[in-house]
Order: sequence, then C-alpha cells, then structure tokens
Amino acid sequence: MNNKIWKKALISLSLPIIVFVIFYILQPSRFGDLRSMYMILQQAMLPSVMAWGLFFILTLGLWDFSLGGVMVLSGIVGGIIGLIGNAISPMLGYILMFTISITIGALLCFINGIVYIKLKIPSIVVTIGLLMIYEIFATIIPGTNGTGVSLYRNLSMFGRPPYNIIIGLLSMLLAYFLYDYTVIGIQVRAIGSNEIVAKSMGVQTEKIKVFAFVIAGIFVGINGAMTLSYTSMMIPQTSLASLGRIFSPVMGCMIGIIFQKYINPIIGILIGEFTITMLITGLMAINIDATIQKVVIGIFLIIVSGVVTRKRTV
Amino acid sequence: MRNKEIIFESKDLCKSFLMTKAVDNVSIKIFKGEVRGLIGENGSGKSTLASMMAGILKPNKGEMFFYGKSYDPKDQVDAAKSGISMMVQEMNTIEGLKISENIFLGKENEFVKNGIVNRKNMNDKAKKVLVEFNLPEIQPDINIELISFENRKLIELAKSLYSKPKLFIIDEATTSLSRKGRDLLFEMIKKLKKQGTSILFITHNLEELMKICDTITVLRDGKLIDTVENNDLNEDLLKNMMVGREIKGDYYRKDYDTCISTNPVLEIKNITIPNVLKNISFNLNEGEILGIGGLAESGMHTLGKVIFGAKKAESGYIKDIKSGKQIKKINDAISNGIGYTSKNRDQEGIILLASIKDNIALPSLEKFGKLSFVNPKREKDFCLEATKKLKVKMNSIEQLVLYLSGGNKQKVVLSKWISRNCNVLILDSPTRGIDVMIKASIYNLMQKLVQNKKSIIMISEEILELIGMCDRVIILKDGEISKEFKRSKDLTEEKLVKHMI
Repeated sequence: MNNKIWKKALISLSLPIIVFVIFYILQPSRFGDLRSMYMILQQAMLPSVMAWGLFFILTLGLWDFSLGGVMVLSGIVGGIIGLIGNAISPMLGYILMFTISITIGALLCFINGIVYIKLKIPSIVVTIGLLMIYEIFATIIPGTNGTGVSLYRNLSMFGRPPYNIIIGLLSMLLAYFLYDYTVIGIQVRAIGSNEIVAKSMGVQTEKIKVFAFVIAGIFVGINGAMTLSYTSMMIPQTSLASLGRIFSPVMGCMIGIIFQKYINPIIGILIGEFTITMLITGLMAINIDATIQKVVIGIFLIIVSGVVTRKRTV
Repeated sequence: MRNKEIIFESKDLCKSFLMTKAVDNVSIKIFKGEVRGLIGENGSGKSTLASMMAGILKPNKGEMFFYGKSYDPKDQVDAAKSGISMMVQEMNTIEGLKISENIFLGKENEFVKNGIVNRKNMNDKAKKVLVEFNLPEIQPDINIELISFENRKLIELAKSLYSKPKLFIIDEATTSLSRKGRDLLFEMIKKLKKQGTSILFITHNLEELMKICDTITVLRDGKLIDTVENNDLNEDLLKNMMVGREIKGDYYRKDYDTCISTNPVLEIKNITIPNVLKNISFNLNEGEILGIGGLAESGMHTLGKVIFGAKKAESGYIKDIKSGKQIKKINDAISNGIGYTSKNRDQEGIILLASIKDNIALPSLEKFGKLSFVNPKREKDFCLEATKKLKVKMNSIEQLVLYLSGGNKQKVVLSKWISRNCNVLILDSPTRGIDVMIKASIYNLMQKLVQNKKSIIMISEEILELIGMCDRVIILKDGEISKEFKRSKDLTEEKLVKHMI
C-alpha cells in the first residue's frame, strides 16, 4: 500500500521535476536556485486561486469565460472600498478590500449561474456575453474616470511573501475542504459525471450548479484582492481583453484533471500552476520570445495529456 | 397463504408517447409480500408501467393508490420517500464518485455535522451495507469505476434497498448479472418477501420468472392480458399470452447432425493478456456457430474485443485465413469482413443520439459515394433495405435509436454488419435483455447466415443458448480454455458448468 502511495506521489511530481531538470541543465546560472523557486511559488499562487474556483465549474462540465472580467470588477470595487477603510486603519482596509472583492465576485458569478439556469443556453455563450457587460461596468464605476483603481502602495501586504503564500495555501485548503468534505462538492462531481442519474438520486442539479458558480466567484474575489495587493492597481479592460486572464488557470485545471488519478486535483492544480510558471520562467531564462513561450506551453500541455492518457488506456 | 392486503393499485392507467399508446387502461393490484412477475414483449408497456409506479413518468390518465391512499409522486425521489423504489437495466451509478458517495448520493446530509461530511462515518456505514450484500471484499472509499460492472449493479441494488422500500421494482436488471449475481439477487428477493416487502420483477427470462414469482402479470400492446398464479403456468402458456398466438417449444436449433466444414476462416493463436487471457488458441470454421461460454469474468468478453481488434493482446495473433492478414486493429477486422456486436450495446454498440440510418450506414460509408461525398439516396436505400431484412420496428429511418425498444436496437446493431455482408460475426450476448419473439428471430437469422457459409462466434453467459445454438462450445475459466464441446443432444447445462467453476 505504501509503495502505491509513493508511486502516485512520484508520478504527480514528475512533471515539475522534469521541467526543473531540463532548464537547470540548459541554464544553471539563471535558473534553479532556491530564491527563484520561491519566486515561482509566489507567482503560481495567483492563477491557482482562480483555478480552484474555475475547477468547480469545469467539474460540472461547464465553462465560465467571465472570470477575468469578474476578477477585475471585484478587484476595482474591493480596492476602492478598501482604500476608504485604509484611511481609518490598514486592518480595516484589508478586511474591506477582501470582503467586498469576495462579495462582488460571488454576486457576479451568482448572476452567471442564474442566467445560465434560466435561459438554458450554453455556459460559454452566457459567460462571454456577461463578460462584455462586466468589462463595461468596470469602466463606469463612479469616481474612477474609467481608469480603475490605484492603491499607491497601500494594502500591498498580500502581494508579498509570506502573506501571498499563506493566503494561497488557505485558499487551497478551502477548495480541498469544499471539494471533498461538503455535500456540494460530492454533488458537483456527481452532476459532472452523470447529471441524469444524479437528478434521479435527488440531487437538486440546478441549485448545485448555481452554488458552484458562487464558489468560483468567491475564489475569483480572493484572486482579485490578491492581484490588486500585488500589482497595486487594477485597470479595466474591454473588448474581451480580460479573457486572457483565465488562460493560466485553465492550464492549471487541465493538469489537475489529467493527474487526478494520482493526486487530489486541488493539489494537482497547484503543482500544475507551479510547473507552468516554472516553464515560463525557464523559457525566459533561455531567452525565448514571449510569443513562442505560449506555443511551447500549448505543445507541453498536449504532450503531457497525451502521455498520461495513453498510460491510462494501456 | 398469501397476504391479501393490497399495497398498490392502479385504475385505468394510461400513458401515450405522441401517437403511441404505451400503457392502455391498465388496472393492477399488488399485494403485501408478493413477488409479482411482469412480462411482455418489447414495447408491451412493462417499463412504462413500472416507470409510472416509480415516479419517473407521469400517467396521462388513471389513478394510482398506495396503501389505500391516492399516490401521485412528483418524481423518483418522491416515490422513494413514499416507499416505492426501482432498479433499472441501465447503469445507475456515477463514475468519478467513491462507492460510499454513490450509495448515499442525495442522502449525504445523514453524515453532515457543522457543514462537514464525516467521511469515516459514511465509509463505515457503506461497509456495513456492502457486507449485508455479500460484497465484503469491496472497499467503500475507492472510485466506483474501479470495480466490475456486475459489482456496480449489486451496489445499485444495495442503494435502492437502503431506503427500505415497501414495493421494490426490478426492471430487467438481471441481464447484466452473472449467475452468482442473480443468485444473490434472488436470495435478497426471498429475504425481502419474508420481511413483507413486495417485489415487481420485470424480466424476459421466463425460467427466472417462474422460479421466483408468486404471480405473473402479462402485458401485450400496452394492455393487461391476465394475472396468473405461478402454479397454473408453464412456459408455452406464458409465451402464448405474451404474443397472442400459439407458440410451442423453444426457439433453438433442432438439427444435431449438420456437417460443418473444417475450412478455417479465422485463426486465433496464443492470445495472452496478463491476468485476463492465457494462451487462447482455436480456429473458427466456415459456416459454423462457435460458442464461447464461461463466468462473467472468465475473459470471454475481452476475447471478443481482441478478435475484433478493439483490444490489444500482449502476445499471440488473429489471422484472417482468406487474406492471410493479421487483425491488429478494428479497421483490419472490418476490411476483412468481420463484424462485432458488444455486450454493452448502448455504450459500445450503437450511437443512441444518432438516427437508425446514421448507425447502419456508419461502417459502410464507402459504399455510398466517392471522394468523401456521400450519395444520400444510395445511403437511404441501403439502410431501408437493411431495416426491412431484419424487420426493425420504427417510425422512420431518421428516428433516433434512443427511442427504439431494446430488441429493435439490437436489430439495428446486427443490421449494420449484416448489410456489409460480413463473413464473420462476433456476437457478444446478442439476445441480452430481449423478448422471446425477437430472440427467436435473431436465432433464425443466425441459422440463415451460417447456411450461407457465414461464420459466427457467439459469446454468451446463457448456457442454454450455447447448447441450443452452437456447433461447438469453448468454455473459458480464469482466462484459459477449460474444455471444448461438440453439439450433441446429450449436452447438458451441468456438463458445461462443471468446467466453468
């Protein structure tokens, strides 16, 4: 039994180990030291938080392309209220920034869920439509002149270590707990695997779907506040530009899903984000162009899923 | 003496689907502690009636009563709460969930405290349920897809009975169970009967029906024909009632001295898959029906897939004698005139959400056009001809296969290979879940095919079918060939079973 656990652990960690070894061999002077690994871990936390939320929706077999726009809008509103609170005390500022960001995130994703359920049209269509609306809302928030929010280096604690890592790990624990130890988590998985059977077993499928969207919104809200704390500003994006913000979380989710036979997917997502971030860092270390980096990541994902799927089939 | 307390009653129950009257003024009474069989041809209304009782479908007309009170369940969950639950033929467990999660799906709140699901309690309770159902070796905290199909079905049984229903409906669920599984189910039925639970048992297997049921209700064309005490019945009488005309005897082959060619058409040599098949070697001869039998996990179903190229063996080969080519993948099999029907018809044999035409045409598209263009008229004519040959009961060729009865689905599966004029057919459980009339027509078809020098490998868990239809029967046990039998009047079930276990 212990051998089995070790084998699974090894397989799950094989990806980051292989990527590390490759770039360490290629560029030992600019890659692989503890400090850069620590940086990579911090950078991996941000997309991981969004990925954990997105994962609940993907598990249902649905998509939510609005999460980037939700993150920006919730971050801006959270930041504005947070700054007001910060004027009284930084503690209040942080509490307000996170609370408001999470609330707005949850509310917007609740709208996503309700619209999807009521209109009965594909989630891709619903969420792209709503994304366009959220992007415009972010430009018309009173007092921002369409430029979003700047924290002027206030409320930046959660953009620095170890606080960004702590909040990231707490988010992971929350996701793990929700996925494996709540009725919602079990029923989300049931619906994702076989909605008809789940419904016949008494699962209230529409209610659970809306809950899953709300859970995604909570994580996106956390992500919004963390991103704002890290970058110190949040600028609205239009013309579906915020769609690009879910690219990395999607990659992490894909790796978490691919390896879920060997490791809990919530942990797998963090390993996936760490690997992708390490890959990007490694490519930069060997002077690969940003455009080519995206091609390499795409090929990497195809190879990984191909290898793992092939192993499962045999 | 049977308890005369009525627990369920329906009055003039009707259900229509568009123009088709599936259930036509059915009035039925079920008594406490009774095991009632429900039988009829495909399309007779059995499953529709059962579905209305279990809350899956709503009647268009009529009334139902449960323990004397008006009964009109909103859905399946409501019916289960009232005391009626049902086990269906299709797989009703969910992959990706653990066994304990499957058993308690929809009832998780039993194990929740302060918002947290107590997994230990859930697993412990699931373990107790598994032990009660004679599955002590199964761990409740593993994913359900890791266990066999049969054990999944037994877990479904456990799940259905967990709510302690007063009326339990079994809708053709035995077809996917092995002998061991069926014996377990029948033991469970006896136990439930002693406890005063009533059972409505729907099956095409007349032998099972007569073994286990107190009374049998016969439906035909949506109407209730009669309800008869088991003591007053025999198989022929039942068949007559189902079909509405006299049918005598069984429907297997009557010949015993047909000369079979010794010209091999397919060579199977040293097929090995670790832990599944060990050095399987035999030839399939021209114009013969070769049966392969054994227990569900003997490897015979996997062997069928290997011969068709759908599964890879670690060693050994399959060779088409006429062309001299080895069969390594499905395309090799098809291009060498080999067809295959899977035991899991709905998952592997047919595309439910495609039309009858699309299903039949799919393996033969190259016949309808050139350069990737398909001639729609030729395609349609081809498919109509195929459905006519097998007398598929349908509204039109464009009808989705999903809406066909089980027997007609099987006819569509067969017709796609027969219309390709395959020389070799591998039929895995071809009459599973099918009524007597369509069974008879499939057996008739098989005989006609071999008379035209086609060859058939029939893989089946039904021993009588193997004895009745095959020229030779190979028995597999633990992945190896245990014994080979030639067709003979003296061949009995006992002789075959001895080499299976």
